[in-house]
Amino acid sequence: MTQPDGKFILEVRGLSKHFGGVTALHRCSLALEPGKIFSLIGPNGSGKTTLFNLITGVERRDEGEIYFKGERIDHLAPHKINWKGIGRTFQLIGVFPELSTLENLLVVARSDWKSAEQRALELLRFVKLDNLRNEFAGNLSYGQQRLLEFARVLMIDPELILLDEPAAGVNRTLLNDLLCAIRDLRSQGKTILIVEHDMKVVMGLSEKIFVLDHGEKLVEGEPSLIQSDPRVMEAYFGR
Amino acid sequence: MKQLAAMLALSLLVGVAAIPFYATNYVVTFTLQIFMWIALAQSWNLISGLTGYVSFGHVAFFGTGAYTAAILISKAAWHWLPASLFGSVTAAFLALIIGYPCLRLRGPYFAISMLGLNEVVRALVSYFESFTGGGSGITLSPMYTILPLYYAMGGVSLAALLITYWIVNSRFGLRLLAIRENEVAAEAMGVNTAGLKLYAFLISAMLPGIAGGIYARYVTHIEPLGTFPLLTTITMIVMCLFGGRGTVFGPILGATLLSIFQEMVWARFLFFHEALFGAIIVFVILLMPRGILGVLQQHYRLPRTI
Repeated sequence: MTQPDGKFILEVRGLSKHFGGVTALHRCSLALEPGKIFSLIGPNGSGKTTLFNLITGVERRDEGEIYFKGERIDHLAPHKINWKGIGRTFQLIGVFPELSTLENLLVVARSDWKSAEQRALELLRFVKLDNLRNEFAGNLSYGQQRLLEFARVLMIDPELILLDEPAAGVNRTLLNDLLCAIRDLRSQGKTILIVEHDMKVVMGLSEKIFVLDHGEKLVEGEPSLIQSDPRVMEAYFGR
Repeated sequence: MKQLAAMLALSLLVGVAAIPFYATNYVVTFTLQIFMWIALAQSWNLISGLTGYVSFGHVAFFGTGAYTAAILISKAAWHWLPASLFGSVTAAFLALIIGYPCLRLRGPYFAISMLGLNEVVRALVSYFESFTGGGSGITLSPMYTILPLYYAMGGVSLAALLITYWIVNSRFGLRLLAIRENEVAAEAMGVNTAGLKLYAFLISAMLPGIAGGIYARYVTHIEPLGTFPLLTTITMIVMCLFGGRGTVFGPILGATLLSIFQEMVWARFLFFHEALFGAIIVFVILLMPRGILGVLQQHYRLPRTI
């Protein structure tokens, strides 16, 4: 097995995952250069969220290797992978409903309490939830919970951010803010991998797109190439 | 406001501490039992109320503490106080052995494994007859006065309150609550869920360990069936749920109110009180799953840390 290439922040090699008789991922490989925005698209059940779960250690792989900054991470517990610098949001929102909006951010902070509180309030202002800081997260709307989850990822300042359908349920005004924030993160040198069904968002943000179908990587390339690739059309709409 | 609350708390503390000087023996004994239930409900709250891992075997730690103290007192001539404190060490050791593998189980599997633990410990206690007295149990010499036990049990319940207050107001407590709310998300966001659950479990086992030791000295006779009853675990669960799981004062409220209720009902309806207790369980689970404090928190926007 060759050594991981140092120019990639994340390298996934031949990753496979089965759930009983269902193949969720089959020998999937991809590599992300640092400081760019990538998207992962594909029809429902193509293995996008499974790939996120394997990268973050939430699920264990059956085969394959995952390297983060040249270091193998596929055997690590999820919290250790997070400590290495990978943060994520969830497809089914993963906020802590009976904690307040502010506590949802404080709970993941690693700095001292005072500076953590300051940073949390800044982030809540950024996602326009600062007036709801003492509200239970479970009482927020679906879109607000998505934004809270996004703010929570920023709280830990990871180098690689995995966003699972960040635009789902977010209204247009807030969505524009969210897209600006994602671009802003890129300009700060962060690497972002997005799973998204909104093609406008995907095409507008991404520098490179990976397309999955039936657990296998179908194609990868720049948005213009992906848009015109007949294999992608076939995966989404059939022959 | 804070000063007023501190004054009220101090007055209550002095009032409760002075009970043996102005109340009847019956009231003193009854208050000692309330202290014990507060410590047990609060200790259950530390693992199950905060992390959501429902323990159906918490009485195993209570029984382990009781037997540890009784053996040390009867066979090694220890004073009851260090013997009771040592009960927390054996209870924590048991929690470490069982917690390390079992806290990896989720949902009902953990609850069932804890239920099994209680049965295993009870069987072991019955089996090692030469050491534990088997089914006959261990008898200790009676004490001249229960006053020291009253203050010791009161101290354990106060310690349980202070520990819970510290945990609920700390980042540790916040992370335990995050485990309860969404363990997968918490772990993926950097919370060391396995480690934190184990710490919480050890702390929650130590308190019943000490309470069990003091209880053994108080009743002067312990045997397996009476020391490891499932009903004790169920009672601490109901007390915690009734007062408010995951809160600081909920278990105190639940333990006090339900102890008074049980005492009143038991005295009047000798054969009916267990049915009424069962009705309370159904009532709490169906209509007040967050308990009294949980309901008050929701309606009056009280802080989570009460």
